[in-house]
Amino acid sequence: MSHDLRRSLADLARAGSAETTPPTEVVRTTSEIVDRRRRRRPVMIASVTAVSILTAGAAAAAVYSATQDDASVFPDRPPVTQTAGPTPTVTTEAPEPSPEPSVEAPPTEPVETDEPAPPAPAAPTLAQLDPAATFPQCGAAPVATPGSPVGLSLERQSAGPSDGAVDGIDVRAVNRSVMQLTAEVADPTLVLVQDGRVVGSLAQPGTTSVVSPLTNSISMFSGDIATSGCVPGADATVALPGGYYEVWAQQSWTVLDKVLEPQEYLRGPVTEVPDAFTASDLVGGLWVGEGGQPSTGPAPAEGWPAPVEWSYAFPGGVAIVWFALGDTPQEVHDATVAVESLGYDGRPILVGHCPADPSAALGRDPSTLGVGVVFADRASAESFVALSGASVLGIVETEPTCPGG
Amino acid sequence: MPDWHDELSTLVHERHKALVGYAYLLTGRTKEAEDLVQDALVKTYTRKSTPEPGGAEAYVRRAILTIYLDGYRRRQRWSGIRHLVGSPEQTGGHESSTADHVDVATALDALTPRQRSAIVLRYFEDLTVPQIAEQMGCSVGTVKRHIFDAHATLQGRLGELTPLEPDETVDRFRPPSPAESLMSAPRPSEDPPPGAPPSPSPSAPNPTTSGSPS
Repeated sequence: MSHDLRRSLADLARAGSAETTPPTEVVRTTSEIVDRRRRRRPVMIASVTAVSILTAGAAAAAVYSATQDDASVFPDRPPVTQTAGPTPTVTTEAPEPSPEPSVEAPPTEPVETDEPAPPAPAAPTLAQLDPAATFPQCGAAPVATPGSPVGLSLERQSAGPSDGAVDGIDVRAVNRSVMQLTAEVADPTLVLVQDGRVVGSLAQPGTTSVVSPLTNSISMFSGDIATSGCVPGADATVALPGGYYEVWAQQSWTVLDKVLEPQEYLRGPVTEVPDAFTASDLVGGLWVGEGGQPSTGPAPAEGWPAPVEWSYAFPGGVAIVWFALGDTPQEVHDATVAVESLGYDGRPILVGHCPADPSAALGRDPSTLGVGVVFADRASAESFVALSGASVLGIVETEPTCPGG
Repeated sequence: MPDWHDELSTLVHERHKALVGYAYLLTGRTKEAEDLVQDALVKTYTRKSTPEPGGAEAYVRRAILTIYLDGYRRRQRWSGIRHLVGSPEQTGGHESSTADHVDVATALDALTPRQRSAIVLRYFEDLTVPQIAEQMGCSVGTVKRHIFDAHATLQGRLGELTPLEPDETVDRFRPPSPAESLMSAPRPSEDPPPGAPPSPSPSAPNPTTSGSPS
């Protein structure tokens, strides 16, 4: 007779939780901790919310230029100028420096804070592009390493940042090589990039550790994100103008040992892993409000239809306005920023199960990832499309009961 | 009193045991499971936007999994030195458990955290393979590999298990799309064919390691 694993696990869970701390005591201690943390960090939590929802981390720098069009379509809304930088891959030709900061503040929700924020400088000037600077130095052009044995991305369930500097942002490093690596690795350096140059960075503590990831497995690291603009060659900082900033990560790996995966797992070419290499990627983005503090991004305009919070949406029947289906990281990232600039949740959505892949309904090849805005019904979705005038792939309604959802 | 406090209180009074049970399957120790649940509650209710009423448990369960997987390296370090400072931890509840409990708990201890998570999500939480992939932040193929490997390990210790279902078998390979690379970490090489040796390397510590846990 075969072992019933389901039943055994249920029995084991009951046994393991038979004697636990009384709920009243759990509530008391948990509430105390939450109260303390909420008092300490009301502002910065918004930033990690904005950062962690962007998981673009592969090979592309975002060049989002559609917002000018958005502004022309929505005369009632201030324009949001997005990054216009160098190409996402290794930069060999630097773009012209921007004479002025090009970000205008988007409409933002009031930032929660216990204390009034210090007044921002009247005209903050961000670092200009410095062709002599090396990424991730202040003023340098960002450089991606799509061929690196390791790829970087933000952890979607990242821990929240605390007050002062944004710390504890979790970064995933995926071993893309066909070798199990043992390596000494420094915590990643996270910088803010706008208009093709680094405009915010922090000195790194230089913490290193040794990890041993298998092929395709993930090592987790923590990094800090600057919340003010940097000044090339100086320790001084300036306030960040409101707008959207890309978050780039760089991390150095020193390989101590490498073991080729067993032959039965090898289907692709065996590529050599250097003894030392540096991985850099665009990993996400950060909205900054007019006060120079990280924010949750623009709020939806009044009168626009309310979205359905997608974490709970798919078991029920919903109508999804699809902006992109994941063909490339660039498309997904651009769509995320486009949706967020309208004040909606632009998190990428895994498709295929719940919700089902809408590709066929939209006349496209199958996908596994998309960016869309979820509404309770088609009427709301159509209203959103009409109001926004956005170029979308289409509206797809899901079944009332999503299988397995 | 803030609204979140009432929601937290309701959740704990109604679902604390269930949450500890879930965490216990991951950690194998009651005290560690309770700590894990509290960490997850704190993480959930410290967020700026607390969960919608009735939806908090899903957040907490996800946080339990995330914290468990992210904290593995810290525990691994502790495991490496704890013999220097005291006797090995006893698995809470085992003394009074049935032999089956002990067998299953011991068998689970033989799994890597990712394998263990995949098994718990599949057979205790009753999630589908794609749902597990979404929860664990990896590809469907990777989940299948974890389940395949874990199933083989458990079968070696518990005897014959209910066969894997079709959607759990490592049955196909395709290179990851660039978009998938955003959300997950699919293998760059082909999934092993059915019957391939399960474990990639005897010296492999774990598919997920933490660099510098905060």
